[in-house]
Amino acid sequence: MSTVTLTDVSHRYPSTVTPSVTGVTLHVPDGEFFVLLGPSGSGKSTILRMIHGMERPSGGTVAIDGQDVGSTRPSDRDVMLAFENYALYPHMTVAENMGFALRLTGLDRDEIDRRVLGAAAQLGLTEVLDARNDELDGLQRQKVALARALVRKPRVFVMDEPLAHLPQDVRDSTRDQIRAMQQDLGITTLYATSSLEDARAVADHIAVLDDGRLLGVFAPEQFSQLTTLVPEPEPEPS
Amino acid sequence: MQIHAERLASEVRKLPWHLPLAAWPKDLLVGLPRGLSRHVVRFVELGGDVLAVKETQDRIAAREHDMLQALTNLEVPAVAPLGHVVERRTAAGAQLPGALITVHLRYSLPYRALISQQLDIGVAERLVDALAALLARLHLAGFFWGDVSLSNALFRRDADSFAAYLVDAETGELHADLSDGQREHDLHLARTNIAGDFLDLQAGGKVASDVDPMAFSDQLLRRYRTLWQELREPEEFSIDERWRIDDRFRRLNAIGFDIGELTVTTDLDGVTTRIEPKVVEPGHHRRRLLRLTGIEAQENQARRMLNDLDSYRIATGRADDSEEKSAADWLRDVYRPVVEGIPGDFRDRLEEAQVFHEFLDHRWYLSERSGSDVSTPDAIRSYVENVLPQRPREASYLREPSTAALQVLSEHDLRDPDYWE
Repeated sequence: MSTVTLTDVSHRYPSTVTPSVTGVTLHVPDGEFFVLLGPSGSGKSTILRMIHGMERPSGGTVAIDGQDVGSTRPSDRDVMLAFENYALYPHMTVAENMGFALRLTGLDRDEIDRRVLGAAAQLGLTEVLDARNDELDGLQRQKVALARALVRKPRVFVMDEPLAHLPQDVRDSTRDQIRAMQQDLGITTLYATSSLEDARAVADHIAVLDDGRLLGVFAPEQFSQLTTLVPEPEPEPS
Repeated sequence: MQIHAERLASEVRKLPWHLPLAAWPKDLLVGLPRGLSRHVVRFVELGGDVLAVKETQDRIAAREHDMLQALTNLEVPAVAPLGHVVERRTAAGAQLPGALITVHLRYSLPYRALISQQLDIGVAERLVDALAALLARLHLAGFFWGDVSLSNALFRRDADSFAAYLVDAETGELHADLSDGQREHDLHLARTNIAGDFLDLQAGGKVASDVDPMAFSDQLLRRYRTLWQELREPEEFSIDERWRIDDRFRRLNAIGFDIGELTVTTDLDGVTTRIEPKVVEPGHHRRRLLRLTGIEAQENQARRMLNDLDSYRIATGRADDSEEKSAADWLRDVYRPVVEGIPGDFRDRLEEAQVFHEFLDHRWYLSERSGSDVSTPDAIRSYVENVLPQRPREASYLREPSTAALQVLSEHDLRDPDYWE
């Protein structure tokens, strides 16, 4: 049960004249699928990185469950970057692929096994825990990638353009699955994208960003306002 | 279909772009050890170059081409792009993914090919060190990688070390400078991915079960932080310790960097001096070697040759000659006889500069065993007869992995069908 609140948050990267984020205030209610929508350079990735803790705001506060996390290390925030790595290792089983990052945290084997079994049950992967990469279909691979973050028991998921590097033919189905999984899991999720279509398909609310500023927060149904603010990117040549 | 190629455009055009890469005819392909990739990758030979072709989305192929070009322009160790292809279709008109074309880096291998049946811990540690050095250089250039792993790099031998090259820039971002957060993010990814790389080798039986894969992640972080501190961190000392400025220069030179710009500030009381390297450039030894001899080598190979040149000057009474004249004599008397002594059929085993490095090791070994200096011609003969035949072929690729080729490449795990693309 987690909320995320940004209050007047600004950020500037070194050697840049203009801030990457300027005075952003927004509130993400518990369990929401909250989309940050904007073109490249609009500040959405930087906002996710500040929530995750990789970047520090130059002004303002980031709070999780009402607590300012400004001095909390990324590893102690329980904010997970989902889909940071899609690569599945060929010699490892699904269970090993899901749990290996937990070994880095020093967690004991029994607890790792418990968490892997729990995440597999939540995502419908129990039957394939002993399978290897080449025995999985595309959707199962995406689920394993998500499961890697889920076993960390996050309070908040952040997803930075998770579809950007996927082939076109699995993009829409993966997007819909991410949404379905998020609804099942109920974990507060912030999702950055430059595609209005993707945003409308998954979001409870959409924060529109441009040039580091928040233009407004909309419901997906507020289509006309959104299309005015965010023209759909040029379609890829077909 | 649109083909963008820096060169070889007419040959590139003749490739069967209307077929999915996985279905390209075998006679077109050359076999090379491959790394892990979520994309289909194939190797072809065109105009004397081996090219890697990777299928990916149109937009990503174009972006990665631009990114690799920018990194090449910044002289960061990365594979060079040759082109990209977008708007591909089958003969029946169905859409196909785009493709990125890069030039295969001669003598380079993926880490999996450098790790034999059972992991040599020393090799693994040197690969991790090379990756740490690559990451520091990328960060100096303002490049956030976003997917740091051994799988996304290629490795070339560099004297007793390895030099790492970036091969996958898909997730990368280029900035004027990186924030600490961006660098830490890359380190966080590196830590997870490197442990994953070695855990996978362990699961595949190539790493003994008592080896701790996490130790390699920790090693990368340690190496990177030490290097970064030397390259960028400010240093403060009292005004009467100005020798420490020279010391910083020397330490940076020793790890292969030159200082392009250094800020020196002294506080108002004139008690404390603070120095901060602003611009550091890699390649200290390779630039010096190139200037003196015209030999292009990697940093550690160059360092070794320069040491040999110094020994040669002293041993032959040339200490008072100019460095340039001594270098010309050393080229004539030592370097050329060695590389020209390599029989033709061994030339594709190792890079010339690496052969020379191994020759120096061998000459030292012979001299130590016999208790006196062994002459260069005798050492060459012994090296060509006894050492070179044992070396794997690293320059070359194989049209079909034949039995003979398997023997030559015996240190690699060729039983693994995943090994060949």
